[in-house]
Amino acid sequence: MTHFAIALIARKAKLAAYAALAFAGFAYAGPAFAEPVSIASSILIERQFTEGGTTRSEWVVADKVVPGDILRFVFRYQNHEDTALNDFVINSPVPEAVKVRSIDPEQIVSVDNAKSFVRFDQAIFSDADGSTKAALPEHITHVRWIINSINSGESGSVYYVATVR
Amino acid sequence: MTRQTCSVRRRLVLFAGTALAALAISTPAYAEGTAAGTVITNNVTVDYRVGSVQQTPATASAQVTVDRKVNLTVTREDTSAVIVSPLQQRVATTFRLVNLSNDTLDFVLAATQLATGSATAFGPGTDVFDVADVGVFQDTNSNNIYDEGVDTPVTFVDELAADGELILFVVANVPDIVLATGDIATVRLTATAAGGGAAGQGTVLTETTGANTDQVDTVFADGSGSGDADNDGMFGAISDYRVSRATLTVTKSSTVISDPVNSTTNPKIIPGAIVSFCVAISNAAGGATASGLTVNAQIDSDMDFVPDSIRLNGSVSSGSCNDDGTAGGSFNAGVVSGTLGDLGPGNALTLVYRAEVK
Repeated sequence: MTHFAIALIARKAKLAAYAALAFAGFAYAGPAFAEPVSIASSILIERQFTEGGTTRSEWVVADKVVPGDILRFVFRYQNHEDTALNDFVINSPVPEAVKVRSIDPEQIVSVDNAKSFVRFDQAIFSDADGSTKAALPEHITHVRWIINSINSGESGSVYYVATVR
Repeated sequence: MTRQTCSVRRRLVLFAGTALAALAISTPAYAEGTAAGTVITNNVTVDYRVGSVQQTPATASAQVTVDRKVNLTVTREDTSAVIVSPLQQRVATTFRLVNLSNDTLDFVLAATQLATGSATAFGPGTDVFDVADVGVFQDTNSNNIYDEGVDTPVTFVDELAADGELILFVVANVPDIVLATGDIATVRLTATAAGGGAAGQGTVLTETTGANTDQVDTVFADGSGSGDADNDGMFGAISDYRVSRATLTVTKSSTVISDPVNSTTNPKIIPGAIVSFCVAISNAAGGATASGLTVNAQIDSDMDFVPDSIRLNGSVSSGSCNDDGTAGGSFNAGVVSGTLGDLGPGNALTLVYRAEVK
């Protein structure tokens, strides 16, 4: 399963010293700044739509969220530089109130609160009593994506699926 | 990161007044999950290089608020019908209310009677009568038993925490009408979710339709009990009162024992004859035990009571009174009196006495 969607948009950009670039996520409607790298975070929920007798499901911006709902945590990025960006590392802590529902075996994750990051299919979870076992999606505390290089103007998105506890 | 899901049964402290207040103990997760009002924040941090130069990390975040998911159950605690006798007062059926929502809520309570012919909780048969003076009471002393004068009436439950539960009673009187053993009156207790967070009864909750709002919205996720539907913020349960009465038949008979001329051989009713009288009380099978049976028999003006002839608790065989009672009872002003022992269903007891023809 691929997490990246590639679109080509050429933009001129400048390097600037910003302590942090914070953008409103899609959960709140708001414009993104045109900065060297734009990243945006959003929370989507699957809703059923019935049209002409057939029911289909779509991922839309989460509004009413209750325990049991399945959400997608999405991160979009775009390179506004005129050069490539290297070693693009996206880190996201899984919020307390949700648990990861399913994940690619190769996804880089942490199951020990960011002490270590490994492939999910190699992650070992240590219980409070010291016993260890192969980690389950619900044990994931952080998710990480590493993109070696993003060309100028390139954009994409990554996501994971989680359930509201 | 693991999250422990605990379902904790809480003991509740009661306060004076018509409202039942609940003491909440916080646990990380509730039956219906994350507490309403919790904000879920999606943070992301990006580190990257341009060429060989490490750049300042970029961050972004999005938020969504967890809304209120309403779920509750009301179940009966009675494992069989509550047996009542005619005219019995303040008889209780017992129910348990559980708040499965992810929020502290109030619950409006209603006790209703099912119509004649309705299906009952335990059977056999359908509802045939209504009880009277029905009210809902809380288990004030937390002993799972209705205690008249101790457990107080309630119209709503105040501030029941997520995963909180408590015992409620529906209390009624058996009316002064003709009832037979096996007659059933079915009652229903319904709880309706209302807003918590303030003293007094909150407003009954309605589902938030349309788009999300900035406040905590409400979603109904409850099942259907008795008399309510899925996802309506209500839940009901039924239980039965079933009548068990003693149906008594009283029969009086007499036998000539002896006369002065024939002695005990074919005695006739002539002056001086001794007559044995038997008052037999039989209790129909399948009903309740009758106790405190007091028998009073008037001596005819043409006869004289034979002293010390009263025999109590004798038996009956093939319709005839046996001479196997024990001495007892009293005679006063022409009336023979005696109190019999407990008479179980399907049995008979007698009071026997003798009188002489004047």
